[in-house]
Amino acid sequence: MQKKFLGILIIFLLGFLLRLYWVSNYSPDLNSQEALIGYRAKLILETGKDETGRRFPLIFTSFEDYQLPLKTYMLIPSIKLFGLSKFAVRMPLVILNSLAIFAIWGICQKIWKKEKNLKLWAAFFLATSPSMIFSSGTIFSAGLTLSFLLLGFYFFLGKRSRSKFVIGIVMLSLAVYSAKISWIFTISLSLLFFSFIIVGHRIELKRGFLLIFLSLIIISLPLLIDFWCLPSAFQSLRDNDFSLFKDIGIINSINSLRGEEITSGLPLVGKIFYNKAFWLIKFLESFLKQFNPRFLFAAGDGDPLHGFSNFGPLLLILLPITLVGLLYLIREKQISLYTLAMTIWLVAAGFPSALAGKNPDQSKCIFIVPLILIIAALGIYSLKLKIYKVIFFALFFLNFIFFVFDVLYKEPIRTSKVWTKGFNKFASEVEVIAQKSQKIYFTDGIIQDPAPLLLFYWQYPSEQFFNSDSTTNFEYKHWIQKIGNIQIGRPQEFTMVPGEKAVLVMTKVEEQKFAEKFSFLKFGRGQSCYKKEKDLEYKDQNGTVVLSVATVSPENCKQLPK
Amino acid sequence: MKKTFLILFLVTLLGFFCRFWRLSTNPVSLSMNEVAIAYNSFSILKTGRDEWGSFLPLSFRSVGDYKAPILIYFMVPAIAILGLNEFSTRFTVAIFGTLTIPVVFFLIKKITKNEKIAIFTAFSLAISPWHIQFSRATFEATLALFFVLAGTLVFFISLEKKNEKLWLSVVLFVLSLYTYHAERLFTPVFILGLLIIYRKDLFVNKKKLVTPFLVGMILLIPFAKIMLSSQGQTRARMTFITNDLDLRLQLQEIRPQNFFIFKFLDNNLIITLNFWVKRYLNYFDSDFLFFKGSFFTPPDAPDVGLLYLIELPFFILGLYCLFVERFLNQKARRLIIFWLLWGPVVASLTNNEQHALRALVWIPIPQLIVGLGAYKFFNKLNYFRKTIKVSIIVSLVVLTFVNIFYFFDIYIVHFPISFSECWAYGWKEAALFVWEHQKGYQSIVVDPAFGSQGPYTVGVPYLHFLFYGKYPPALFQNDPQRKKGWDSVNFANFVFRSIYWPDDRSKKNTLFIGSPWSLPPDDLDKQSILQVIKFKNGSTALIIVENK
Repeated sequence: MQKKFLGILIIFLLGFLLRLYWVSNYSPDLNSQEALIGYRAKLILETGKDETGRRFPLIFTSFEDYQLPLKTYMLIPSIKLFGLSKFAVRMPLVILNSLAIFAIWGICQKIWKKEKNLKLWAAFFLATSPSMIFSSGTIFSAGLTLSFLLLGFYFFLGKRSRSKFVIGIVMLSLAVYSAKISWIFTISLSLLFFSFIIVGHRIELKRGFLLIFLSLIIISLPLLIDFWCLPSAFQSLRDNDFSLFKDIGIINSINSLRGEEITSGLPLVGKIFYNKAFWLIKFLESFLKQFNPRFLFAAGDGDPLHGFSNFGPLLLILLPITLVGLLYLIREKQISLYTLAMTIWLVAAGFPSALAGKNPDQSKCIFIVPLILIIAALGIYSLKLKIYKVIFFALFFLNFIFFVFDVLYKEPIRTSKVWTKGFNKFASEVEVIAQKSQKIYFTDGIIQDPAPLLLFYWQYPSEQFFNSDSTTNFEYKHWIQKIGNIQIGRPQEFTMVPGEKAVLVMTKVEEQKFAEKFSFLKFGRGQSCYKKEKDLEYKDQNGTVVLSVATVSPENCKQLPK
Repeated sequence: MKKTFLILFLVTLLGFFCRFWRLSTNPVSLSMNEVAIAYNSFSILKTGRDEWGSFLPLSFRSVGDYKAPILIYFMVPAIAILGLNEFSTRFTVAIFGTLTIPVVFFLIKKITKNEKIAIFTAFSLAISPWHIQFSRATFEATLALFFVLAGTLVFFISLEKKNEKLWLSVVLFVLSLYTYHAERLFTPVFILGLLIIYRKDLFVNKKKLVTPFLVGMILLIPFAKIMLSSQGQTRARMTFITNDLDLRLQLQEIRPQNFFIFKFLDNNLIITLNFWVKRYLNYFDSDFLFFKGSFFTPPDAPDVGLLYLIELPFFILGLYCLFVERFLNQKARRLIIFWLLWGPVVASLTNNEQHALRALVWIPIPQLIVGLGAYKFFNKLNYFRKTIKVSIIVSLVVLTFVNIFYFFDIYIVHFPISFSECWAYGWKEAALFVWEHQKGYQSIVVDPAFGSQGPYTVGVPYLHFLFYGKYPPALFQNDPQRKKGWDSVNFANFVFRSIYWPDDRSKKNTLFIGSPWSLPPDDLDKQSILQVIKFKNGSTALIIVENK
């Protein structure tokens, strides 16, 4: 019994430690969205209210989109235990994402009972997969959703029992409550699977399927109703999840080509070829893009918020072995229910990213990853000679070391801007002088939505956050623009009062442009003078100063030469 | 048999039509490369020397890129017969492009031993947007592809005849080396692959291998001389992947070297290799193959891939046939897989994300995969009732022709509007205008920089003026102005240099030709503007201004 689980325990430990190491030591600082979710969890923990003052809401507002509740609420115990820190924000994700290793192992064990070690290879590949490691290190929900989905499916496989069914439903519901991409995936998967049941006359599956589907709908109902009632629910879906259909670039190009046909005297040709049907082609194009080898195995989408910028969701060395696995799967003609289910999963997994405007989106096509990992594991299994496995493992090792090296040493430098590397230290230094001031003016010229980072790093007390009338104390437009005495925006919007003691944080360009505006303020009630804090600067990876700090205070006027 | 040849004839005829219809006017104008090749060919015809006075060179200096020689020499008969014009310039490549269709048919027939697959492949090539676009302009790659395919075909024919005609195959392969830069790397490795795969058949008659070997060696001596000279390496140096800006940035990244294993992994070779792999995989991109590979329209706009969208299901089915069903013999499969993998390597080693022209030597493999898929599909159709079968075939034929029509609409109507600038549009109009008025001015100053977004393209207008004036090459080669400076291309009363209008406006009895960036329209006397030439998208390309 112990020997049976030894392999998976070692792999789980490897995966967990990799994620933990990545999160705690080498990943850059927090992104403002992560900081917002962390701080919001703290507010809910201490006051039961989110940053906009609503009590235990199901849907949160953010600069990016409406956020689903799970990732905020699951941080509460962690923040309670460890306090508000990067570790507390990311630790729950590390644990939950690591569970996917167990889930894929369990799924493979139940489906491929005879194929020795296949389950271990699949678990090993998932434990070392760049996209899975990445999603464990950030608050973005794709990896979390995938973990719950895999756990959910694991419990539905094998012998049926009520307890397993309930746990399975709970896991799927958690996936639905964690990210909207799971909605598109689950609906696509359900529709495709239902079509398969009908077309393939697999009536014996109908009851089980309907039971799962209806239970899921019932549990998700509060969330769906809440979302439905939002003033711009459809707008949110259109902008973020179905943005392919409102892509202004496509609309303009169709209009432009039609115009060219008219000027060329072929208006009818324009109408026939360049019309709304083009979206179908665009959808197909977007769908297929996610399966391009370059995207999956080499480059990803290049967005450092979606994955490691120099790698795809999967290691390059898995490409040949995936092809071997695919050939094995097709050649052996193992057209079982599970193979069909895998195909259906693969098709459904392509939908969330294909429907999004920016395509392919690594964070949205994460559901493709486990399936390819399983196919790769099948590839390893199908290698007859042991020497091939040894060679593969040696190459895998080199590929993985190269990946680790790049991610640990180069990625933080490359992506320092989006992950606000070093902002933690800078924010703490600004806090010291901010405590002596009446007001803080902070630019959003470099970091969009810097307020959550300040709230997070300053450990801004929740009582102070809600201490006055929320209508004047807190402003939320595109992002948080005012909290108490902190004003976020551009220097031209800062309305400083003479005699006031304030801290100004501006970009280098803004400083050159606006220093004069704040240099000497005199009005009936008093005067303030501008002084640059030379030792307080936020630098980018090249050592260039991007944010500088100045104080404006009556005390500075005494130091002015007469 | 007769039926097959009739079909092949019809397919070739269709291919001929696709390559020759409106050949002079589409692409919209002669590109810099085309006029350079055509004028050098004209120069060889008239004087036996290139534009720089070199006698029958094997590497044409041209505009400094040291062009491969074969196409220039092969164009001489067409220019001699048809004169120096757009049609004669494009004729040679178009005819070799058309001839590639039957060559592909016979080659695939030899490889697969299946006439139907060969016909489907030839049809896919005949209508291929990828091959058509590069057969309609003076691209050396099309001719080089012809030589590679013909060389491979003769190789198979000679295998059947116990190496009887192998020397001819060698000659054709060597010609490909002299024709296009990409083949200089592709062909040797490809030949090596052929030798390994068919080694047993080749060594049946070892004696017959000596002659082809010697022929090859002799023909390669001048080639080796070119490649060892700095001139021969110019093009490779200019386009090699190490010139890529993104790669250079990666190589310059900070490299902490804490552990031995990191030192081992973090070197230029491995970083370059990692970078190259991404480039290589770009060629297996669905977007490139089926949606946007031709780049006829701006990003986001409807476009055409290297293959038609209608070919996508056949392509998938073809891959299934190749890798799963294995109904080809082992050697054929090995050759196809080798060609499939090696085909895009050379293109991926250059400093472009994707380059359909440099990957042209990949043809006919994607077409063959489509052919395999089509063969399988139509075989399966036999199991259906006749009415269903007929309706499927009719639908497919209609859809195929809709795809072809769509391609030609994009190519003929939209491509010129989107990219006339890239095809040096405007210089022909300027040249024709200027030659009519050339004698009325003491000096004609032409600024080679132009472009609708800024003067970012530096053209070779002197070649357009030489071409459209049919200027005698002997006069050009011996023009006293050119003797003054090594790089001078000035001739007669033409001066090619940047125009600086604040200074140049005072020069009298001069005609100026330049873009609005060098001749600012607001700063010009309206009476002095003789002609404004616009790009196909409506923005101003060139202005012709006189200073009396």
